Amino acid sequence: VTAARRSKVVPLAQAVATIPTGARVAFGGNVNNNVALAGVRELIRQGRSGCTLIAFGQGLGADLLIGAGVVDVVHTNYIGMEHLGLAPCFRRAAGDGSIRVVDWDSLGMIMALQAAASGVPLAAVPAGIETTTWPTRSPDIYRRVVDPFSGAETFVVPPLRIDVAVLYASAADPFGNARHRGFVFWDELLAQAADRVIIVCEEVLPNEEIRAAAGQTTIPGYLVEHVVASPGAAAPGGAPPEYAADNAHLERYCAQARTADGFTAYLEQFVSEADRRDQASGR
Amino acid sequence: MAAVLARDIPDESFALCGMHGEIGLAACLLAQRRQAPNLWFQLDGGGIINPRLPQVPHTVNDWRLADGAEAIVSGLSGMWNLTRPRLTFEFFGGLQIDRYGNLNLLEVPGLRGPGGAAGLAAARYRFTYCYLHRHDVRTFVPAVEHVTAPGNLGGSAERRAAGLLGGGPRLVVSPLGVFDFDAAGAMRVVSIHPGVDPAAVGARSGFPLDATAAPLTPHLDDEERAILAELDRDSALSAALPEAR
Repeated sequence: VTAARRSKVVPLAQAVATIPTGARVAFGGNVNNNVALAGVRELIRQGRSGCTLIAFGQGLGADLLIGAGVVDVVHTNYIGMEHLGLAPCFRRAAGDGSIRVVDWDSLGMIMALQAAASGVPLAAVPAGIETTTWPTRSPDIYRRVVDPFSGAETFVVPPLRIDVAVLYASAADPFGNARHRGFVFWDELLAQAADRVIIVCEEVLPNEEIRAAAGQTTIPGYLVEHVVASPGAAAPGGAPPEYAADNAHLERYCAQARTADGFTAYLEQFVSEADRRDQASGR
Repeated sequence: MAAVLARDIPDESFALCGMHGEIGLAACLLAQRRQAPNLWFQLDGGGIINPRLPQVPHTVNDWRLADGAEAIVSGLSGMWNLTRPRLTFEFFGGLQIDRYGNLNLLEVPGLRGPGGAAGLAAARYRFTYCYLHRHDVRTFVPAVEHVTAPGNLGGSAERRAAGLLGGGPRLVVSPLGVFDFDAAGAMRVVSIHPGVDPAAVGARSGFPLDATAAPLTPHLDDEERAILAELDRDSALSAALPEAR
């Protein structure tokens, strides 16, 4: 009996349709690099709502999801536009209480993602946390315990679970073996911490090409549920070395999204209109 | 600003240039070419180590920076460099800084910031540098609303009692001047930038800062000026803030 190996390649809309209302979603990359913005735009076009966003160092993508009402809870250590300033929708929604923000520090969030990835029930964070705002700011996630080894007071965080991680990659084969030609950032950790992974990549490569340089595989296919080819998926953010962020576009966004009307106009122009390009199936 | 920090950077150390870290990056490049050839530095989560840069880019997360770098570590591996107290220091910005060098990047009344990011690492670093893009009573406050990067807490004694590692904040640079901390952990004036009115420093700070007898921040020497001009070919430093150089 010879069974054919199953291809995981699906159209963008089909992959994103598997993310249910209320899901805990994470996008990879860092701020405005290597974020699968085509997936962000498709979630918005499909009118998803009630989601929880796990946003480790995010920018435009998180801001769009917040502004469009896709998410109502955000776990984050940073949402901003790096050298371009603050993220306008996040700033507005966090300020008026229309989303609930769970504030983490970077190390705590990393430890919590590692706990989710490894199956341990909790993770201790580095000493010094008690001198910061986090334990009082976010008492649900920073809890004091006694370290049974030293007897010292220490703080622990719970696993930070992800239902679906949508990760950008330069390329992947039909079986989900993905390759980052540039930065990997924290994508390997997110892939391990998530129940399901959707890879959104520039191009689908033949399996033989992946095999020819297995050391370049960053996310192995057994972690991946769907592969989507969507050239330019990280634009107008960057995906170096494939392409750099479109700074002029991002600057314009920061100015335009300062008002709700401006943001709505942006969605009409750049999210609805990008539909055809986002869905392109590549080669 | 970059030159002031560069002059202070010790050799045989490891620097983290976090997000929006163009000033720190320029300082590292300058120091590496002068008194600190054994300095290592890492660019944010991209994990680029010791890039050989022709000029400072507008963002430290730019893959062109990988050209000629000595290593590119994963985001996770780079993260553990934040917890190594023997070597590492970092450049921090903030929405607010207080008298004892505690920083707040989370929020101030009416303004939600981006989040505290990796500020907790300041509890373990060898020391930290702080750069503030504004100097007024809303930025230099008696006590920050939220401590997202611990400085000297309520003073050096409190920092020691809390068991924090490293030396805490070492230098603060603002558009008005350069500041350090006295034995009790309180901020004091090191120098004011040329053209700054000494009275303005106290008037624009929410806690006592006496600049009346302060010397001027030394001008760039010829070599610093030449290197910085070269590094600023993309105007990333000038864009980050006019007095960056």
